[in-house]
Amino acid sequence: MNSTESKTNPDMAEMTDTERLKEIIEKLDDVPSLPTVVAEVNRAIRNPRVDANTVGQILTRDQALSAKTLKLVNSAFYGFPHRINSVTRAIIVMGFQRVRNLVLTASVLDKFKGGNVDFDFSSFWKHALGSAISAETLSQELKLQESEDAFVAGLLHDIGKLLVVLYAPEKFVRIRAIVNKKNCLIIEAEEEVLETTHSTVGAWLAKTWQFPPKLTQAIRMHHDPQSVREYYEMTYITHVADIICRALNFGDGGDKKIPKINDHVWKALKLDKNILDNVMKKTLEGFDKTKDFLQLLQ
Amino acid sequence: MRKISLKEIQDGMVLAQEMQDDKGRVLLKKGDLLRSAYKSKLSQWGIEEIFIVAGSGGLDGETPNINPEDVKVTTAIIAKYERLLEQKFCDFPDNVLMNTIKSVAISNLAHKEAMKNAGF
Repeated sequence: MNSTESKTNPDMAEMTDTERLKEIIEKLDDVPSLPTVVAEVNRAIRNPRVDANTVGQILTRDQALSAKTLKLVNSAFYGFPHRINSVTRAIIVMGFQRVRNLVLTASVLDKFKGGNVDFDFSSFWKHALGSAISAETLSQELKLQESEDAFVAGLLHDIGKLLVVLYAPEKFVRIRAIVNKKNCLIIEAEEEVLETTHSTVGAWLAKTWQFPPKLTQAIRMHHDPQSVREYYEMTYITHVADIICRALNFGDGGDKKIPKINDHVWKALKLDKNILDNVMKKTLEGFDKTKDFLQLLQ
Repeated sequence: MRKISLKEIQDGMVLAQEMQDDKGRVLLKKGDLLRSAYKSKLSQWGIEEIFIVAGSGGLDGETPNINPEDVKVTTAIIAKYERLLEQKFCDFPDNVLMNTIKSVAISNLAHKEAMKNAGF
């Protein structure tokens, strides 16, 4: 919880994240869990001596999820010359991290592909995918480690918005009305209605789903990157990727505005016009090849 | 229809013309689905180039007859994206970094549209 929220409601400081969020999101208990194999794969790849076959066997226990993962593996986005027919083969070619991230991507897209609410899920996921590609490209361009994890951070940075849409739909209607009336950032309207933001809600989900701490942190802090004390690179990348994606008009970030880039982040990442130009160019090219990702929503 | 070299063959491309060997025997029929695995066999038959149906195998269509570097970004396209991003960026008229982001985004979006208009 950040200091502003503590000041607005001191009683809440004593409560746990879950208890506090239950007051905001009435149906929090209904939030789905991820398929069990996701956690099993996460556990397995933490062992440095694990082999591709073992992880492949775990994954194929969930045939539907394996098939969806293979659809992403074989998408134009990765552009392999030959079809990859098994998850074990995918792990050999792409590595544990990347396949794990695609499993996670397929699971989350599947869980949050729609609902009985007036909300454009496709535009939401276009913004998420654009941010994912932008985050991965940016970390590759800056030669940062674990650039494949940046993809997931970009993809899920706004996942809290979907939780509000699906599990507190009446509050979301109020948030959208404020955004339209004031032409402000969605985060400002969320503060007004929820006294918290999608970043906090998303981080709660990431923690509940046992995502790695750096991913949880990037989701929690992407609008306040300067306050981060650990895993700062992933948070900085996510902050910039969100802004790049909004500047390139991919999908819908929930409002018609763009958040201001943090000066400290720009300097810390040693960003310049050329880097930005390369990242935007590659992001635009990559975004054209993500049809298979969006098809998982159908 | 589009002519490609053997090394460009990708899974899912569709053959646009029947292929025969030098004795007139049909090797592949018009409309056959190509596989990258055919490359070596076609090469053994002495075939160097084939005709495929444009747009098959993930290609967007005929390759335009101009050099990508010669594609011109018109002021009209730039103006379109300037208008589009104006409202988004209106809170930061004097912020150097936000202006940089805006101008790089406009230039990339406009370039992409010009390339698309030219058939790329």
